[in-house]
Formats: sequence, C-alpha cells, structure tokens
Amino acid sequence: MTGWPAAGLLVVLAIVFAILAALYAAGSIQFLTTSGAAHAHHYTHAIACAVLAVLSLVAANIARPKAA
Amino acid sequence: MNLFQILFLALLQGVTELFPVSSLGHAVIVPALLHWRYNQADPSFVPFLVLLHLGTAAALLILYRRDWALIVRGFVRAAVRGRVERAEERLAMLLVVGTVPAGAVGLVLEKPLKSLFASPRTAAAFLLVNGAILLGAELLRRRSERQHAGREAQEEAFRRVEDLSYPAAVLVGLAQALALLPGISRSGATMAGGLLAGLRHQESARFAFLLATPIIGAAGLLEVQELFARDVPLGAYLLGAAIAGAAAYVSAAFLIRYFRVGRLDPYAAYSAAVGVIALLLLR
Repeated sequence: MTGWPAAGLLVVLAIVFAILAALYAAGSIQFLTTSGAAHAHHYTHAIACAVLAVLSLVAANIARPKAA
Repeated sequence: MNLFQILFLALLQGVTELFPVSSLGHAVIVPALLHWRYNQADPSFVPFLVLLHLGTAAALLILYRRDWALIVRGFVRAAVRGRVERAEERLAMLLVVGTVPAGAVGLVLEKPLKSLFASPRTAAAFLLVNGAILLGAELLRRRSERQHAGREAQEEAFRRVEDLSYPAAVLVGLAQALALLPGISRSGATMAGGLLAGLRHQESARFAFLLATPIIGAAGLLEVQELFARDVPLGAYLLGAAIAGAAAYVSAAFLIRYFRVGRLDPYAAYSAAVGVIALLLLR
C-alpha cells in the first residue's frame, strides 16, 4: 500500500489518533476503558493512541512516493 | 499471599513465561491445585503478574540488548528517511506491525479477559487448546519439510525473521493476541504463527522473544501503576520480579539453543497433559 492516497489516509488516521489521545488525556471520553469512571483521565489509552498516531505518521512517510 | 507464595509464583512465572506452555495459565492453575487461599480475582493479582512479566521483559532486553540497539536505531533511521533499506530497519518495522494487533486487542478486550483470570478451569481448558495449537503448527510444518534430510538441513530451508513479509508479521501478531487468554502461551502462539509463516524454529523463537518485550512493557504500563495505589508487599513483589527475570534469562538462553533443531512437540504434549490433569483435579 503505497502512493499519495495511502499516505493521505495514514495522515488522516494519525490525526484521528492524536485527537483521541487528547480526549482520553483530558478525561472527555471513556470508550473501551476498564473503569469507565466519568471524567477519569485514562492516560494509558491516551499514550496508546499517541503511539498509534506517531506510527501512522511513520507509515505515511514510508508510503509516500519518493523521488528516484 | 505470603512471601513463600510470592517467590514460588515468581519462579514459576519466570521459568514458564518463555517456554511455550503459558506462564499465566500456570500462575492461575497451580495455586488452585495447591489449595492456596488467596483471592485471584483481587485487583492486585493481575498487576502482580504484570510486575513479574516486567522482570521477564528486562531479562529479554538484556539478552537481546545488541539486537534492540540495532532495532531502535533502525526504526528511527527508516522513519526519518521514509524508506526501509537495511535488515535491522526491516526487523524494526516487522516488530511494529506484529505488536499492534495484540496491543489493540488488549486495549479493547481488557475487561472481559481479566474476568477469565479468576477461573482455573478456564485456564486449564485453554492450556489444552494451547497444546492443540502447538501440535497443529508442528504437523503443518512437517508437511512442508524435506523428507530424509537432517534436522539442520531441514531448518535451513526456511526463512530468517528479516525475510518475513509484512502480512505474515501481522499474522504472527494476531497469533500473539491469542495469548491474552490465560492458558494460551504468548511465545507458543507466536512461534506457531512464525512456523506457519515459514520461519525456522530458532528464528520463530527469536521473533517471539523480540515481540514479547514491547507488548509486556505496554501491559506493565497499563497495570503496574495500580500496585502503588494498594496495600501490597511491594518489596517482596520486586524481589519476585528479579527472580522471574533471572529464571527467564536462563530459559531463553536454553530455548534459543534447543530450537536450533528442536520442535514444539514436547511442549504440546506437556500443555495437553497439564490441561487434562488440571481439569480432572479442579472439578
């Protein structure tokens, strides 16, 4: 999966993960967390989403077309 | 848990973690067989096991310190350059691709899987399944091996980790996700996936041990914080983690030598036997 469409898709994915990371860190969402306590700060999920955001960016960089 | 129980479980976990026989399954079944009266459903039990896993991860980091130095450098180089060129860069990307499935499944299914930890009978049943997975992988492997060749020649016909395809790494990662069930061995499931993907036994063990480190680290990140919020004997737990790490180091060194020509068969038989015996005794 390479080319600009794939790279663009991965950048969008990275943005989604970054937003999710911010929302988990702020305690705004509890989706898929163990405690589900209202307004709890789920830092582990925030960290996981942040890592996935970085990995998506790395994948986008690898997927983009390169000059020969 | 008293000090003896903590240290016993630590040694048990360290020895069984890297052998393809499910350390988590043993940690749930053995205390039940010994009629140890402590609450395995207690919220501090899983974090204790995770702390022992961190000891194991530390042992693997020490054992593969040169590989990890190359892998981390390779990942950064390939990420910045936007192109994978060298073997260690490819290995780094394969580890990322193989780690994400188990991490994602762990985050999504954390709660229901935790409730399974409290059931020794469930763990015993999954240990039986673990035996079937290992045996199945070996039977499939034998069909694609050269007949009448020596074991070393047979193994050389298969791939090294660095030659694995990315879809195959995803397959191995998905196999690793099975190990979130107590009784299914992480190294066993990963090795079985590696064998199906055409890796040599020794290389599938190496990939399993390299894959184990980040996923165990992530699990530790998720759970260890709970240890510090509860009234637990932290000193004894840390001593247990050190014992588990030392035992894991010796086990890994043995297994890497064993899988040069060895197979999963004995571990399949062991898993099935322990699973059946535990199911009969834990009625």
